[in-house]
Amino acid sequence: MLRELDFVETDWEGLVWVLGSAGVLLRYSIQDSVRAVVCKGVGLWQQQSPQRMLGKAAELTIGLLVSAGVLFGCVYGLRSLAPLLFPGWHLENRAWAQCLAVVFIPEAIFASGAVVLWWRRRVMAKGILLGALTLLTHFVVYFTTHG
Amino acid sequence: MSAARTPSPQTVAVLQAFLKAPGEWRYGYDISRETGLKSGTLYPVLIRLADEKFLEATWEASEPGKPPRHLYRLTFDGRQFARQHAPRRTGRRARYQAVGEAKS
Repeated sequence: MLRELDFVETDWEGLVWVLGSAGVLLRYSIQDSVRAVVCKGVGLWQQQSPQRMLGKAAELTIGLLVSAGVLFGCVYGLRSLAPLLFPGWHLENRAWAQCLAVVFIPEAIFASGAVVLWWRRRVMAKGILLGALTLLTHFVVYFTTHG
Repeated sequence: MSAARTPSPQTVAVLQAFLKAPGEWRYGYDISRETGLKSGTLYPVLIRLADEKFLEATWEASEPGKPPRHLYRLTFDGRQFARQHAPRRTGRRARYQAVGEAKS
């Protein structure tokens, strides 16, 4: 690409040629690097087409969003439904109920969902497991710092 | 760019430039001068055509101390694709039309 520069007639054309060539080189090197990182991260082969990769990335994102939705549902259940269903228990203020609703129940749902989806929608299952891992990490960090 | 997808005007201009001498190896800068496309537009087209196996590339040995130059030529499938999507134009007016369409 840049070898052509020896044959470009004017300096201005040469500058335009170099800038265009540099842009192309940058674009394709970034594209290849991102593809390599994403493929390695979700266990995909690098020869996949961009459309298929986008589909897999969308599936991974859906898995993450599902895990976030489950977590939100469990927290909402504790904060809003528990006082209605068990009015005298004050579950929303009890530490064990909070741990159950925020950590153990969602993690159990994530694990079961990942197992169910593993053979049919593996990338989505990986997205759910990624959400589970994030929550677990947050839980461990929280309890080690707050006791 | 699959065979079913309509090529862009820039790709058509590049294919028409190659169709003028289908069996000849061409330099990228020559194609750029003929089509009026800048390197930032031309090389992605050449790369896509090469990925689709419509174009083949080779290196030309050059003087010591200088990097080799890339040469491009239509493959057999590429010639068929070019004739299907970029009918060959002849004459100066046709060339100006191709460049004008590629720039617009």
